[in-house]
Amino acid sequence: MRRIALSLVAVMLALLLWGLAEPVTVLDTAEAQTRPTLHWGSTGYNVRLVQWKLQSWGYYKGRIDGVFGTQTSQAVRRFQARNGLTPDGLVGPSTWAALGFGTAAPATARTRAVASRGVSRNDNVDLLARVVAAEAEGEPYSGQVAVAATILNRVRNPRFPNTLNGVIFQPHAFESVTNGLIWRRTPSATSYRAARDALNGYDPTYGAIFFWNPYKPVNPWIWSRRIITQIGSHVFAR
Amino acid sequence: MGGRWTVPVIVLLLAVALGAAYWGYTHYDARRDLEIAVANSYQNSFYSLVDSIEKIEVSLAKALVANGMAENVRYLATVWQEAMTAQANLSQLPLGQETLMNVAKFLTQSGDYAYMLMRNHTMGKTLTPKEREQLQNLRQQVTFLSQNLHEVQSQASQGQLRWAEIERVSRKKLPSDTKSLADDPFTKINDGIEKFPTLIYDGPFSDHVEQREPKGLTGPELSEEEAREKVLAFLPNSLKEGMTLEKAADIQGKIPGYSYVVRAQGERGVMAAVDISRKGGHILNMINFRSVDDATMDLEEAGAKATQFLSSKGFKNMVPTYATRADNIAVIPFAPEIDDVLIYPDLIKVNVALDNGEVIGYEALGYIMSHHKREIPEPKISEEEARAAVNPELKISSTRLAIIPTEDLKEAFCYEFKGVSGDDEPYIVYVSAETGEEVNILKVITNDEGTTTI
Repeated sequence: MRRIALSLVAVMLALLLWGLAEPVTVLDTAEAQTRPTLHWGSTGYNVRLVQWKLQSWGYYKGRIDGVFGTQTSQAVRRFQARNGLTPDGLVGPSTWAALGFGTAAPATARTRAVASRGVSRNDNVDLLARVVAAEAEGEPYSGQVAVAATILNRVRNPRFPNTLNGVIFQPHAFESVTNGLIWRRTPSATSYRAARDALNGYDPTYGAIFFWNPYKPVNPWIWSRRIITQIGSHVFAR
Repeated sequence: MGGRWTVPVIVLLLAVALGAAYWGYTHYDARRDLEIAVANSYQNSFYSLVDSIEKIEVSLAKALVANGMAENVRYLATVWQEAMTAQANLSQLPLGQETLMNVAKFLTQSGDYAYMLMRNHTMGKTLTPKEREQLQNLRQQVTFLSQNLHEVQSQASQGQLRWAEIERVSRKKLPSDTKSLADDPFTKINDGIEKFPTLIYDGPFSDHVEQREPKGLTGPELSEEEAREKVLAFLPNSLKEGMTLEKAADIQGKIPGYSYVVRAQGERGVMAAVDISRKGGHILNMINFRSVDDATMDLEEAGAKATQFLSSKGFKNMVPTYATRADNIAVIPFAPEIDDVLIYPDLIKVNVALDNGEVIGYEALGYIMSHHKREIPEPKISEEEARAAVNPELKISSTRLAIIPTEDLKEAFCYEFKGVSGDDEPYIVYVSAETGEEVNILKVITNDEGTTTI
């Protein structure tokens, strides 16, 4: 009897695993992500994100160690005071949003300029900022501009589609588009700034049309391209 | 065991097992539906691609036979349109970027080339023998493409082309020698196209655009030490006091140089980045990453600050052209003015933080690519004559001479007419000072971010 029960359990588990192994991949909606409220004593990846962000904006001078200590708390308070938030040292939804993460879109994304009549170039900024956020989060600012510039270089290159959306949605051109990350991550104010700088002509890659992380496994073919430079953890090549 | 719990436990387990099976099956089913939908859309793109290639082949053949230019414009327009459609459909196939790169390039250039010939026709220029030869050559390549694609299509129509499988293979990033069979016909087509020569003509996608060399890269080769000194001289004090300058990377390619980053002493975060060319020590760009507080000045004041900055760096005669703002940062492109002629190709862009007027961005790639000593010619057409080429509906408010970049990276010496159309929309119209033809029309867009042109 016990044996039958056991084998039934095994069958059930196998079925469950089979079901799990072939999940339906549905595009998550952009705002599905929620961030936990962080406070003194919190640890982990989310704390790192906050520290990194505060450091790049000049509020935090300590190490990015993922530990929410006194220094982080003070930096958060300073940031909150400067951005019209209650300086309570807690990273809740509104502070996450002000940092450019989490549920609400950052301030810069919401207040959109309306063109005099009809035409504007803002759609490009939005889409480009999304790819920057998904492909270059945690990279130095010039590395983020570089990713955006590489995409724009492709638009001008005869070997790639001639539109921005064509380049971005080309199958398997960008990991984050293939796995849907660009729809899950909300672009921060920094992503927008990087996208705009690139649209304004900044190209720290000097004409690169490929970039990849040399510390991750990539298609060996890519190494046959001529490398121009390295910024942060990405190599840029023609 | 065999107690009174046995039966209920088995029933329960069976129920759970059935539930899981049902759940698993619905997932499998949904997944299969999605896979079919995706494969169908790939199939659609592929059939459209083949269809476009056929139309290009036919139209090219007719263009070579046709005698009248009016007739030829029609065929060339079809080539242009279908080549662009084919390129767009091609890039929808899940083949991995490298597989069909040559074919994509070939299609873009064919369309671009047909467009240029068409434009020449509308200006009354017939095909030259050289252009005929090029068309002949294009036709051969298109025939090669269509023959090979037809082979793949016959596999596809028998259901042998499994896009889901091709997709899985091209998705794999890890090294693998076992490329799937399905990928092979495409690789073969791509390699076939690679053997054809490069195409040089007056279009934005011509090979000469990619091959162009920087004209403004003058001066002696600098050592790393000298380059560093130049960078330090360029940086504002706010990026020097308590900061360290470190070399981050070498820049290879057309403009070899050094990449520097500025860090606050004893910290990891990067505050700014500066690139400098090895030859001549030209600053290529500078980006200061600092956040910018609320604006305390307008675009005009920012423009004055930027002009001051440029002249302190030795750039005299630079004139701000238009200006935009976003996130309390003003972006102001400058162009040199020589003998009252504005030289638009030699652009330097300056970003000004509107909180305190500091220059936080500098970008001189346009200047370095195209700046050289220019002989400013005398206009062959008078202003009056040029004005006659402008649509009379446009109320002209200002006129000046300018050199503007054209799509194919050449330059055109023009009259610049600024004005508003009948329905009150601002435009800038460029009329060649050499031929009196309209060269370009820009639509001016003004919003709360400033002014730009499309």
